[in-house]
Amino acid sequence: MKKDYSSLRAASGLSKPGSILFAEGTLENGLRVILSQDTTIPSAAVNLCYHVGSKDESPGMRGYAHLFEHLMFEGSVNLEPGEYDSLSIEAGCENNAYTTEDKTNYYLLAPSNQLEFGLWLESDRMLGFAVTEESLEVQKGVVIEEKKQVFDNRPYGSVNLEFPPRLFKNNGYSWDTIGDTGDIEKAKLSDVKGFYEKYYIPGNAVLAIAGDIDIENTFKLVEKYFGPIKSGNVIPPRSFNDSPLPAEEIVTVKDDIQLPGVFIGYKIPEENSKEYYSFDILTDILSSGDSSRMYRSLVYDKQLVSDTGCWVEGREFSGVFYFYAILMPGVKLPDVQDEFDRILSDIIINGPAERELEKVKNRIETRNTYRMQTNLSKADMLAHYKTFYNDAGLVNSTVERYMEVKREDIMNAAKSYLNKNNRVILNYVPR
Amino acid sequence: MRSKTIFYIFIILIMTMTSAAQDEKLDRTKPPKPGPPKDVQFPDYFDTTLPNGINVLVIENNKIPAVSVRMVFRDAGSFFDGNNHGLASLTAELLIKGTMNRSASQIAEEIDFVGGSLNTGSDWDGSYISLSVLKKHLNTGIDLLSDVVLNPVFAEDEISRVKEQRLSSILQAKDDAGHLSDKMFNKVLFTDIQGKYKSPYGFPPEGTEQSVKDLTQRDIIDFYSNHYFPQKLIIAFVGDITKEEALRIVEEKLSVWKNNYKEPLGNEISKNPFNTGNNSVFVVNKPGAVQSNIRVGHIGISRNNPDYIAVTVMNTILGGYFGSRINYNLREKHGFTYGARSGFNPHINPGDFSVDTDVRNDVTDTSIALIIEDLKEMVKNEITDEELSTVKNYLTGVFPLQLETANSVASRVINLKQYDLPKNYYSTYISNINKLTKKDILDAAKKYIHPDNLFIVVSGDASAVKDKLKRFGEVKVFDADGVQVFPIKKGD
Repeated sequence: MKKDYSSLRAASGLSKPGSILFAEGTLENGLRVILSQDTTIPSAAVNLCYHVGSKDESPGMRGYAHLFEHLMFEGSVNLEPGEYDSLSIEAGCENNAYTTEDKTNYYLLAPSNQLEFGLWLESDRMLGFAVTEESLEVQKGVVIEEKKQVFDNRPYGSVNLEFPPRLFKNNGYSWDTIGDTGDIEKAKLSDVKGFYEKYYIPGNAVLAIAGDIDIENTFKLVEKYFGPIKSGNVIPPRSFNDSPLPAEEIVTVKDDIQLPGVFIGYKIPEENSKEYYSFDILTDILSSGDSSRMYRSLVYDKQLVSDTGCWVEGREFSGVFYFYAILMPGVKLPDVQDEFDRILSDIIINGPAERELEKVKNRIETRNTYRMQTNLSKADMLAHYKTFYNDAGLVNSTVERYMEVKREDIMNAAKSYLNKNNRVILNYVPR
Repeated sequence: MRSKTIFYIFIILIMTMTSAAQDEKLDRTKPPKPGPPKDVQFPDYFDTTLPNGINVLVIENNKIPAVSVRMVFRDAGSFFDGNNHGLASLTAELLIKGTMNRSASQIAEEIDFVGGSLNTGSDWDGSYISLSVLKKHLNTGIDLLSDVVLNPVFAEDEISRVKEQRLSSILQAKDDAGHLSDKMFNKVLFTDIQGKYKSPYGFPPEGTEQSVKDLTQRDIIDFYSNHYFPQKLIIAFVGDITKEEALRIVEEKLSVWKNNYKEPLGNEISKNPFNTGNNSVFVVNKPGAVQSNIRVGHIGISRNNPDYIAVTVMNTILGGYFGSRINYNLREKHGFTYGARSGFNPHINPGDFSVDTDVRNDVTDTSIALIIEDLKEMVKNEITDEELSTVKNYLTGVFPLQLETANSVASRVINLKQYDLPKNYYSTYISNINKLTKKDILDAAKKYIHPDNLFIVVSGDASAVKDKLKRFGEVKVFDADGVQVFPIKKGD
């Protein structure tokens, strides 16, 4: 294994308090490994990120990446269905997983004396496909109930189903990660096996371990359990085709709700682009805290809405800037939209005040400090940045990218992307 | 202990190592043996009570340069709402909406500017204020915190704004199946339809549409003066702060606060006997719902019940974690649901015990029957040796995760004080779990789970599920406002 300790060893004169130290290496089969020591508690987070998400699906297999996340708990070469969970519980571990448009991420929080067990358990899932017909049928049922619980049976829950096909055409961002019930019902064992063999290979994964570990010894253990796994076929670089939206789209959605809500989405550049950092800061200016612009105007002064927020979703190929508001009884949707547009155009024309920018940068400093607290948060970030940017060091340097953002950057980004032709508006009204 | 200073460097150093793997024959069929477990100590903390009655706790931890300050007013929870449902909660919310020195907007601007947070809230057992800031902004944070605690003004315009917001969220909550179930479940558990007994737990802590409209400035000012006392205050300093610094802050900012404690007006909790559930069914109608949100349970235990640890272990096996009997049965075996869990919800007084899940409409009755079977099995037979050792390993293994952040440790220390638990509760927690026998678990189940006297609440499409629910007991149907809906008989 090639190992790189450059981010681990301390060098005098170059110290930078608050950074995460890590070592990294690559196995011969292509698995990238990142290790970070933290002895606060006798526990370690083992985080395995596969570079596959719903974006990698195609029509007819929408929801496979997420269905597969469920199936990964249903047995592997040496584990019977259900054993992943029962053995991990018996070893005193917590485990879970999540799927996004771009990745499927698994983690295990193990007592540090059970680290080797954790590597044995995780490596078995990468070793080979062993899902049975029976497990597939049960998990299809679970996923369909998950969709009902999270999307269908929840007020405004269909927002995440309504946006993707309108914001994106003919690419993997045109549907939500939960997928399509019809496609999920039709999934055959041979289909999911093909999916596994294509994406669940060492070269398509990053293993990050943070916690009470010995770096050298852990490298050896990783080599022992993951080293013998076959490398599989190399995945060709992903391409992404998208076309700009032709015009503003305004859609009315009827739902079982008491109060109307407005949801707006704009397409913006991908995560880690210069604009991404500007937009992330802008969302804080607009909606973080009771002194933010949206809260002050929409909630406090004009009392048009009871709840509002803005955030960006940074993705591998194209991000989205979201705004939402739930209206106060009796308020009309156009009044809220007009006020939202007024606040945005004020940003575009006059820019944020220097004090607002300083305020948000202080908030980012606090956020950056707190996310260093848990092993899981560290392992997750290290794996994420390695997976998408081949640079785990971003975990320490993104804060500088935020600090570099100037008023003009925010104005320019907002002017270029937050225009009417680049957005979809969903107006939710009571049925 | 001070965590080691972290460095970052730019030197690149690449090493190539020979693989150790080829030398040994790897047996993947069995899990590798664990190493010796490391000892887990509950962190030390400082605990003192000042002359004016304030209980000061300091949980020092220098891992990150940040400080949280958490205040708990023990006599200011929703338990003391009386007939003014929502009063404790609105009072807490209004603390940060203006003081004698600062407007609501100034408070928001000051705390936001330093990148901190200042939040308030309440539950049955208390009202809470918490501050979270980087160490370098602690003084700003403390000035604000002491101002909102000591000098709130509860201005009319702020009250009316917060009331309108609250009415809107009460309206919005009617869309949420889980919320409708919780509300109905608490109502049938802790009050009765005839109004013979009423526990505060039977009413929504956020208030009702009527109670919120009726609240006056006088009610709120009175609640503040009658329930916020130094003698009933726990203040915990958490993170990068020493006990000397913490005591100096309290001395400077809060020693002026006179101990004017008055015993709060009694809010007698009447005991709702277990035999009233009788497996009767309460359906909250949500026409068109594609799932049923289910609660099955009865009154549970208080937080300082001496059997609490045995009950926790018993409940973990029953429905407390992913590998529990109920989740296995409903999710992993049948695929009826995305998840199912059971839990005791302990307060100063006994709270509820319930099994919670969301299932598809056509298996609503089957799922409830499976839940009841699991409950009956729990009180009938001892768990297996394997179940006992698994749950002990699990609870021991995940315990350190609860000590990973200073705030998580602080929550536990505050628990000790708020619920009058023994000081060694957490230091003996693991050994007390490991002492439990199969018989202890069965005893706890028999004592605290009553499968023949359950309350069953379903929030879902009544027309799709109601008839099949008659197999459990009498079925009553309600609308989202909790008003009973009677079937229209032919010929009426």
